Amino acid sequence: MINWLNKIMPNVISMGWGGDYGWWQSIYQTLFMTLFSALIGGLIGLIFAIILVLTDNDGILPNRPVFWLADKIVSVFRAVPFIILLFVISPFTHLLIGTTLGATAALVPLSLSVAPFYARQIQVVLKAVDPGKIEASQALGANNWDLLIIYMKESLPEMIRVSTVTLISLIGLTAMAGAIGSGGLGNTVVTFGQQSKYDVVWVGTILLLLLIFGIQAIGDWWAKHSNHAV
Amino acid sequence: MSDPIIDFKDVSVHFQNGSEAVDAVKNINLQIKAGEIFGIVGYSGAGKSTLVRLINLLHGPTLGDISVAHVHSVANGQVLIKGKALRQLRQKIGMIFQHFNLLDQSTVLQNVLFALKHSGLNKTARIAKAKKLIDQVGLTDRIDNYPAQLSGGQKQRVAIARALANDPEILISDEATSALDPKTTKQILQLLADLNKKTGVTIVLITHEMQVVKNIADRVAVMKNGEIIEQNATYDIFANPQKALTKEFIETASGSQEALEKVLQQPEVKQLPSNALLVELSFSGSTTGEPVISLLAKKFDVTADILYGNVESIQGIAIGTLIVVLQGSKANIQKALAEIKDRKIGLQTIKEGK
Ligand SMILES: Nc1ncnc2c1ncn2[C@@H]1O[C@H](COP(=O)(O)OP(=O)(O)OP(=O)(O)O)[C@@H](O)[C@H]1O
Ligand SMILES: [Mg+2]
Repeated sequence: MINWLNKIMPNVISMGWGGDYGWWQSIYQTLFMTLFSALIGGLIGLIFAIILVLTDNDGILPNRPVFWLADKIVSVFRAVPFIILLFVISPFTHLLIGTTLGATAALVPLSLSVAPFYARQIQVVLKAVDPGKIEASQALGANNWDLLIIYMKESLPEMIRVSTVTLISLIGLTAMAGAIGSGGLGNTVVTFGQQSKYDVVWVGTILLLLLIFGIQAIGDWWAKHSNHAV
Repeated sequence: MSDPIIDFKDVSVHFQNGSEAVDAVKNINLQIKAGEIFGIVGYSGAGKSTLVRLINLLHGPTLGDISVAHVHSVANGQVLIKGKALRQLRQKIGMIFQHFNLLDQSTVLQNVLFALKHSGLNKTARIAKAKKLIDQVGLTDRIDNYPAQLSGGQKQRVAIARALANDPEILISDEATSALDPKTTKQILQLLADLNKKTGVTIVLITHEMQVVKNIADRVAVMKNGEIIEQNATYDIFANPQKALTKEFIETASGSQEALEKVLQQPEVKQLPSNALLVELSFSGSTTGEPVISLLAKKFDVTADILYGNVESIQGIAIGTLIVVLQGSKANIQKALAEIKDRKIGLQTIKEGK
């Protein structure tokens, strides 16, 4: 068995499971980058989305200057392609982390890139909440905090859905970050691909796809089961 | 103590959307007494919703003075209360809507509990009260259902339970039955009337159908282009409408317009003989039709052939309409008409025979 595997994918086997350059490290780094940039970028994105929805003209706290500023920040960061953002903010990354290499350093551009993407998606989702529900809640004496909870709770299935989309596009970004040495499956695939070691490329790609399909399946299931509006 | 619970003085609302300006509410003076059911009737765009949203300040007016539940809330177009005071005032004013506006991701119980969040009660008391409210609207067996699992009428019942959660002094109903079928509409209106009797809650009932206010409202205002064009006790509005629009609403509600059209299609009306006259008689209160009809025959030798008749009861008083063909000699018909007028019966000539 081992002999046979060794024959058809020698480089995959020689990489090994453990160790600094093994498969586990590669998978771990991808999961690490995805999870933490999702948490940091997601939180920043969520905050921006909430600001955008509340301060919009028809929001519950209309405020033109604040809306304008938040909108422009999101637009600008959204417009910069990720691969360019990686380089543009590298001095900032260096200042923050002390290096621009590795999975931890990659969290900075990943978070900054996913935040505006997520902000726009959540903004659309929150704006789709029926204004009648907000008005009815106001009529019941709800405060702004209550209303924010209504916004989130009423759009929970949609929030889960766009979070899934975001998470998947984030895995794509971690693979791209691999091109500049962030570690992770993307990095492994690129490095070995350049040496024409295609068995590693295939296995790495399959692992990435499994991760993406897994997240999609869980996200779809969760969005469906949390939705009571149908 | 007979201060009105809702008092509007010279209230106007002006909307400016870019270059487009709308005077949605114009110079309204309106006093609604505690405990009454007050109907506001008007076509779409008349400004009804804009007007009632001033009661709980879902938006502010441009001009005028408003007092609600003995709180002076607006002076000279300036909103006087905000923050906690505003939220506390809103708790005294329940509101239900055409599209229910329930929280779809919350159960019936959670929807009602949400309204009790700032009630000051502890959790056990809140749950007990929510259950009582749900029971009051007859939905105890649906307490853990989500709105999507309920019919329109049931959803509106949940909305009513929610609106009543903080024992409001005022309940605003903005087209609350417009999305419901006639039978469900009746049940919901009956529920509102019962609540009014039991708790004394003042109800402001917005609708575009006279039918809705007919049975339960004490007084009715008719709105057009942001103005109240007519306002009276429900019975008087029906018995004695002043404005053309009011008459139109009443005719639509009683179906008499429809009936008249059918009557005009009948052959005996199409070829009305020269000694005949098609008239509409309206009776109200103590005057009723039958004795008059037989009297016309006996006293004036004028026969009255009834083509359509309708009697309804408004605020416990009967209002009737008869469409009849009067037949007899010219002189006798004139005498008969004079007698009808003498008896304070409404008379409208629809068609003269030739
Ligand atoms: N927020 C707003 N901005 C601008 N114009 C508005 C606004 N709200 C209402 N209007 C306008 O004010 C007028 C009155 O609207 P309103 O909703 O009060 O009518 P309504 O009598 O309740 O009608 P409906 O029966 O359709 O509910 C309409 O011309 C409407 O377009
Ligand atoms: Mg309306």
